[in-house]
Amino acid sequence: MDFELSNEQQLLKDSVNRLITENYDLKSRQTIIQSANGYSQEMWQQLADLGLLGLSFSSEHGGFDGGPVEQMIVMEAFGAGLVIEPYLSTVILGGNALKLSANGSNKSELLKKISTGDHLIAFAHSERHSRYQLSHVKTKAHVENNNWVLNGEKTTVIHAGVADTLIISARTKGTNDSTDGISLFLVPAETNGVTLRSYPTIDGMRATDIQLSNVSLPENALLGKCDNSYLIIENIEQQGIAAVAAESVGAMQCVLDMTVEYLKTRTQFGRPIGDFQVLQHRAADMYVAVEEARSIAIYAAMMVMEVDIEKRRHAMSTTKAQIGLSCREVGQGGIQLHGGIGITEEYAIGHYFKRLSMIERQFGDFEHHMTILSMMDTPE
Amino acid sequence: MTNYTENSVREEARAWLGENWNPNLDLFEWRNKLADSGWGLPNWPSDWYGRDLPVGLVPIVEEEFHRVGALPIPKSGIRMLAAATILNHGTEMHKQKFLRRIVTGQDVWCQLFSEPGSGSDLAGATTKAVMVGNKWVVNGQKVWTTSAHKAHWGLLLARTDMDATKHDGLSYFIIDMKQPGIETQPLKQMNGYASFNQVFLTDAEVLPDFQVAELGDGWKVATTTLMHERRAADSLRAWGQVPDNEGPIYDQERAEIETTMAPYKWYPQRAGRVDLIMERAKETGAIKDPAIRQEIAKLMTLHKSAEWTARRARSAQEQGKPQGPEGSLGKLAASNVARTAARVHTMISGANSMLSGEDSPENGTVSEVLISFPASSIAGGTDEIQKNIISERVLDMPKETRFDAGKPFKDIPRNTIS
Repeated sequence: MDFELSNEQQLLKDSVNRLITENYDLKSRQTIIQSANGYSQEMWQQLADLGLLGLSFSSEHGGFDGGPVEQMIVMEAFGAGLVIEPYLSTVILGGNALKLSANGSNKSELLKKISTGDHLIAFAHSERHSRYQLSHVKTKAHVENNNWVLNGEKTTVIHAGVADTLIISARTKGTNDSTDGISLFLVPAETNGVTLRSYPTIDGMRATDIQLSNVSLPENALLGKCDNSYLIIENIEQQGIAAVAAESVGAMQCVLDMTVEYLKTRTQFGRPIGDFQVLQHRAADMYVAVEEARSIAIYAAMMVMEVDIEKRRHAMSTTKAQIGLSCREVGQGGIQLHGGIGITEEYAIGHYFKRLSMIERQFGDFEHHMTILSMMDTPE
Repeated sequence: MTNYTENSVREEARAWLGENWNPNLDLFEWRNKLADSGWGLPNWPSDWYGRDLPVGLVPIVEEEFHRVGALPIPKSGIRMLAAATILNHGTEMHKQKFLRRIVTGQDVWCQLFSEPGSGSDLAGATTKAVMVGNKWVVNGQKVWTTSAHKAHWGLLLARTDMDATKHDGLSYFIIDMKQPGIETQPLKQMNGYASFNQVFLTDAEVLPDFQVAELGDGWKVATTTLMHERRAADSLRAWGQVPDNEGPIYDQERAEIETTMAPYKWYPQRAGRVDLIMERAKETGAIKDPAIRQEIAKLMTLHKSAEWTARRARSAQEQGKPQGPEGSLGKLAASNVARTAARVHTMISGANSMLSGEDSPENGTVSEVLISFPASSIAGGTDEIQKNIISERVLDMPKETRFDAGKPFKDIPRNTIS
C-alpha cells in the first residue's frame, strides 16, 4: 500500500496550508468568533474559490470528484488552523446527507450552491437524552393534506444558526429508539414553526437548539426514502468521524510542535525544561499518540466508503475510539507541559485544547464507541 | 542506468523463473542459481549477486516467486545483517569471502554487541581487542547472542583504545566463532526457552584483514548493523512461513527453517497473541462478560492503530526511505499492545492462566504469553530508550546531560561486573 500523496494531492495540501497560514491567525480568528455570524463570509468565499467546498462532489454538481483522502488533507489543514467556518456542518454532514440520499427534489441544485459558497447547511439529528445513540429520534413527521408536518426538538446542532437549509431527521413510524422508521427532511431555515436558539460552544463555534411546531413542508421535502434513513444517518456521522479524525491530527501536530518548542525555550533551574527526562518522555508519549491518530485517520479514509456495513461500523468506531484516546493524551499533555501559561486565554495551546476536547466527544466519545465495539465481533 | 518498470521487472522475473525454477532441484543448487542470476536479492548490486533493482520493485519479484512456489533466499536474521554491513563497509576480500555463502545459506552468523555491563548503553562495551604480534587478541564477555553456538562467524564490537572517548575507542571485527578462545553457554529465560547465549572470549584471535572499516569506526559500523535489525526481523518472519508445497526442495528448506527458527518460537507469545483473543473469549464464555468485552475492544483498537502505523513504516521502506528514528514509534506501540494483550488474555482465562506448561490454556500458550510479554518492552532497546530516541532525534529536544562525553573511556565510571 502506498501512503505517499499524489502530485495533485500534494498541490491541494500546499494550497490549503497556504490559505490557512496566510489568512488565519489566532487574532483574526478571535475577531471572527466575536462577529455576529460566528464565521467569516470572506473566508468562506475563499474556500469556495479554491474549490474546497465542492471538492468531494461530483463534477456534474460543480465539484472535483475528490475522495476521502482529499477530504482528509483539507480537514487536517483546518485542524492546524483551528478553522471555525461551517465546513463540517455544510460540506461534510450536509453534503454527504445529500450525496448519500437516493433522491431529493433539489439535491443537485443544493450541491451546486454549496460548492459556490452560496448555501449553508446544518445537519439536525441529535435530541435531548439521545446521548450518542443514533436511533433515538422522537421528533415526529406525519402527512396532513399532502404535506409533511414536523413536530419536536433538536439540540446542539452545529452551525444551525447560520444555515439556509436544515436537514432534519424525524420519525415517520416506529418507537422512539427503533432504527426502522426514521426519515430525513430538507427544511428551509425560514419555514414557519421553526424556532432557533443559538449559543456559543467551548471551541468558539455556535450550536443551536431547534424547536419544530407544526412545521408544514411540501411532499418533496422528504430526502431519500421514507422510513429508511437510519443507515444513511449512520454513514453521515461516519463521514463526520473521518473528518474530525483528520482535523484532530492537524490540531494535535500543532500542539506537539508548540509544546516541544516551549520545552526547548522555557528555562527553569538554570536549564531548558526540555532537559528533564520526565518531560521528554511525556513529549515522546504525545508524539506516539499523534502518530497513532494519523495512522487511524488514514485507516478511516480507506474505510469510510466500505460497502460492508458491519466492517465499516467497526472501523469507524475503532477510529473514533483511538482519536478519543489521542486527543486526551495530546490535549492534556500539551497544557500540562506548558504549565501555568497553558491555561491562559492569550496563549494558543488552550484554544487547541478546547477544540480537541470537543472532537473527543463529537460523534461519540471513547466510552460510547467501546460499547459499540464490545457488542460486535471483530470482522477480518 | 536502466529504466525499470513494474511490468518489465515482472516479465523478466517470470521468464527467468520459467526457465530455471524446478522444485526437484537440490536446495543448494537452486540457491547457487539465485546467486549467479541475482534474482535472489535483486536490490543488491549486480557485482554482488544482485541486479541493482530499486527496493520499491522487489515486492514484484517476490510476488512472481510466490506465484510459482519458488523458494526465496534464506533471510535468517543475523546473516542478512552481516551482509548489509559488509556491503556497506566491508573490503573486497570480505565481500569475496562471505557474501556468496550468506546468499546460499552456508554460514551461520551471530552478533556480538551486548555485554553484561553494557545493555542500553551499548557503546560502553569493554570487551578488548589488543594487537599482539600480527593478530588481534580479544578478551571479554558478550551476552544475548542468538545462535552463537551454531555460528561460523560473529560480528564483533570491541574496544581497541581505552584512552579514546567511549564511541571513538570501539572497532568492528568479523570473528571466527569456531576457535578455542570462544566458549558459548546457553542463557535460559524465565519462560523456559534458551534463545540466547553468553559468549566468553578468552584470547580469541582475529586476523587484521578481518577488521571492518577503520580503527575507531566500530560504533559507526555497528549503527549500520542495528539500523537493518528491524527490517531483518520482518524478512525473517516472511521467510519462516513455510510454504505447504510438497517436494524434496521444500522438505530441505522446512528442515533448515525448523533449526533456524527454533530460538524465535516464543516471539509470537512475546507479542501478545492478539490473534487468539476472540477465539479464547468465545471458548471460555468470557465473551458474555461486558467488562471483558470492553477490554477486548480497547485492545483491538490499540492493535489496529499499531497495525496501520507499521503499514506506514513498511510503505516508507518500500519507497526506499532509510529506517529512521521513527522505528521507535512502532516499537513502543507494539510493546503497549503486547502488555495489554497479556492482561486481556489472563482476564479471559482467569485463574487458569496461572497454570504452567501444558495444563495452561491453549496447551501452554496463554501462560507463555504471560511470562514472555515483558521481553517486548526490553529487547531491541527498552521503551525508555525508545522515548529518549524520539525526544532527542525526532523532536530534537536537548540531549540529556552526559557524564561520559569527551572523557577518555578509562575514566568513566562503569559496572564492576566487567
